[in-house]
Amino acid sequence: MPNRVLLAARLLLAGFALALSSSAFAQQSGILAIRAAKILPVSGPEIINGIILVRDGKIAAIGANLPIPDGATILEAAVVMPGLVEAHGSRGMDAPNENVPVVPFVNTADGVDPVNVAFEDALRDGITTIHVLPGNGTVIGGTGILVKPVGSIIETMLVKRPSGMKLSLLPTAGRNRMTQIQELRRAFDDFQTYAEQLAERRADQKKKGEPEEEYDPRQQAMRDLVAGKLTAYLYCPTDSDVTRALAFLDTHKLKSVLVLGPDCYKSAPLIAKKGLSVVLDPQMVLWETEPDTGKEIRHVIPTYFQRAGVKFALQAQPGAFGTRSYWYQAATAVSYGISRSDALRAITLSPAEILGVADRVGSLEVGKDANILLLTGDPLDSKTWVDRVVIEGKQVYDRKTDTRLSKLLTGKEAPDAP
Amino acid sequence: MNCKLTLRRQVSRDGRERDGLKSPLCDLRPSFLRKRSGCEGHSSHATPCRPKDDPAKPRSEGCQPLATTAHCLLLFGVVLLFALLLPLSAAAQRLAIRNARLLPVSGVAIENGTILIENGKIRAIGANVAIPAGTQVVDAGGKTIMPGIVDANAHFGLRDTLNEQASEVTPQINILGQLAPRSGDFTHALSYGVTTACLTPDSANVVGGQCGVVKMAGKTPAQMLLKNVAGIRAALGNDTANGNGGFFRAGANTLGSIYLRRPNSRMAAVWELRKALDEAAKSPMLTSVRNGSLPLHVSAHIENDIRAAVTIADEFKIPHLVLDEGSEAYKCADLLAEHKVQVVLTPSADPQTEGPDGSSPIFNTAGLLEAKGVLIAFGSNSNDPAPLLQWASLAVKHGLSPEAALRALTLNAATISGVAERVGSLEVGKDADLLLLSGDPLELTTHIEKVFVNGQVVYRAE
Repeated sequence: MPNRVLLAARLLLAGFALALSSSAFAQQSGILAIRAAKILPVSGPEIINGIILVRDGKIAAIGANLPIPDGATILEAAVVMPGLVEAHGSRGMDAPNENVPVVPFVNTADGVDPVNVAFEDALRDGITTIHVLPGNGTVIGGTGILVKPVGSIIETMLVKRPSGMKLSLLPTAGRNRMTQIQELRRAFDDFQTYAEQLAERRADQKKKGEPEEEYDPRQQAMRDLVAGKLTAYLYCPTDSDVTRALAFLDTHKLKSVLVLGPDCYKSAPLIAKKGLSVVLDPQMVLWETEPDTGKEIRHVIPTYFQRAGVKFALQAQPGAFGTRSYWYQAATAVSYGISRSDALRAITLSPAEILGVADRVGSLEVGKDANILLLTGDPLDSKTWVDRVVIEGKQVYDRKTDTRLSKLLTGKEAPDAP
Repeated sequence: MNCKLTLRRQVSRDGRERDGLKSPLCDLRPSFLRKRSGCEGHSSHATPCRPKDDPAKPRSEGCQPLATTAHCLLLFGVVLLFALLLPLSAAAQRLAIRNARLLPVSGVAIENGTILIENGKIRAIGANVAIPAGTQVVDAGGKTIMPGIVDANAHFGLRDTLNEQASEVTPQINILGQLAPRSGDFTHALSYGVTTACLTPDSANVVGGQCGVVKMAGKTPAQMLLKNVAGIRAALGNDTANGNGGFFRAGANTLGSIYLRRPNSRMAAVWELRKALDEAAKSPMLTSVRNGSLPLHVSAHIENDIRAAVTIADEFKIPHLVLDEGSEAYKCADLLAEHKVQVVLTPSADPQTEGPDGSSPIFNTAGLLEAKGVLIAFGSNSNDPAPLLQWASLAVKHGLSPEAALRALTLNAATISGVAERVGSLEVGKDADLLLLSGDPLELTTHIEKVFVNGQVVYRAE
């Protein structure tokens, strides 16, 4: 739909222009003050009648009844909380999987579409940090990036590159489970062989006083992965894959996060023993039939990981209007019996910790990036809207000027964005 | 007055006996074959002498021949006898749930109310209900009770393909022939608070067949059955146009047929529907559609197809048109209101991506239709049960009023499915199908704790 893309591009450019203008405004005094009836810092207890002061894109102060410096720009909201963190996904990628099974050298920065409407949706849904990884359809899918949904070129969006490597145990393209993991092992063996041979050649070259052979840039990501400098995001679609995944990780001593299918809840204690963190499937409830009685048993996936003490992040799922959002996931998780604080943590601080960026995002603490959501009410109240979004101290979203949202609510095409 | 009341009770008791024992196991014969037995109704559950299935008409009205003085006296005597025997037998099962926030849907919310259930039916409801001795009493602790949700367009709990390949017009087949009573889907549906579903054929055929209404509890089709024929399902759109293109053009929902036949285009789909209705005399089912005793469900997504459905219904003066899915219904809300089309929404598409049939779904279709006075309900339209309550909650966020949302989930859906005299609201005499919720049903954090069907707990969340 070229029309839609154009519209999205226009809207994003408009949003970008708005962001620039508002930031220029804020920079007159250099301080942004956000006043809220309630602040949910996630990392600590909630603050009533709280104030957050933002300077140079960072949170400078947070607390109840702080004095607001003269000349500060003031924003007000009913409830304020940190921007949400998407731990895993391929947002903005139209073709997230390479056809070739082992492609550690590709990076999603080269494939992501910055004006994809999904980034605009992210802002509307309050997501301020997004992990864009290759899909699960390969063996070694390539490296990902961490982005913020700001601007219309990848350079303005980037937070971290590369962010991690996608490995997948999902058999696709005619492979079965045996060949899938065999491909994975072989890729690591091939890299090992390459590294050993290179070391030999380089030792030889050094001895001869010749210039030493450079590392093949295509092998750089694998080198970082094996050295533990890059995290593996290992996808396990079923529970049987988890055991193999854990053995594989043991062999290669990789730093890893498991991305799990719904029935992997069975391995929660095993995963806890290994001290790994997980990203859960968007499907939070799994029904299984007891073979003897035919009785249907409902498993609420997050509860198993909560009980086992495994750190988990929730994923949102594509689906009916609004069910894609993390609000929906967190609120329904609460309806399934997850505690409120755990549900909110699983869409903010936990994914930030899992992604290794908790020093910058995921909670409202002094010194962290000022990625702040201004809400109309409690985040788990189904009628709450994201009113404004501040990323690194700049307002990048205002519901009042969200023309696409207005179309989704009224059915009428908004007049052209300026 | 007294006599009329007892008469109604007697008739309804009789109806239940017929349903449980005498009615053939999920009798799928079309109504014209059953007419001679004196029952012209489309529902096998209908009382023997009701002329038509009209939810607006009370049962006793259809039973005028019975209401002679002699009958009345006789029945009164029988009931008196029962009333005398009742305290001796443990036959009457009574359950009272007190201290609950009752949302009857048919009326205003009752704070701190009591609902009395007797033999699977709602016996009394209100703030002050006298609880007879020997009643099991449960304290709801201030929790909320609402009627069980009715899914007005569902495909779950059914086996195999839901599209007949023999012809593109198959009004004679009934979806309940595919019913799989032991399917886990019914438990999953209960976990979402759905207690009744109108099962519909899929949309690869222009006229797919008859819809049937079942409850989510029961081990046999007869126990589940609420209404055998609740409507005729037709479809306009991509599925219809592509599904019949022969083996090499199998559509998404079909295996593909070895026969190359119509329709392969939208124009042919419309032509087929028009032809089927034109030749309705050949089919008792389509005759019922034309004379309004059965609703015509048309599944359509894009505005074009929706308008085509309304045009055809207008041409043939079809009194009762139901639009299923209706992703772009908001674009012609005025037209739907003007023609009194009822809409079963399936907000299955994410506005971020293109909707089914290339439609442009939006967030607030339900709210915009409500504003125009269109009667709406929700339907999962999927092989899996859907969280309709959560969908309604989001619809409320996007503009639907909370009252309309609850009504759409229950009473409207029951009305569209032709079962509003049995389910869809908390009213005296209706089946005790209800949900016990931890709080406001339209909050996403609210949790469905217990589900009752016919007064029995059939689902309990751990």
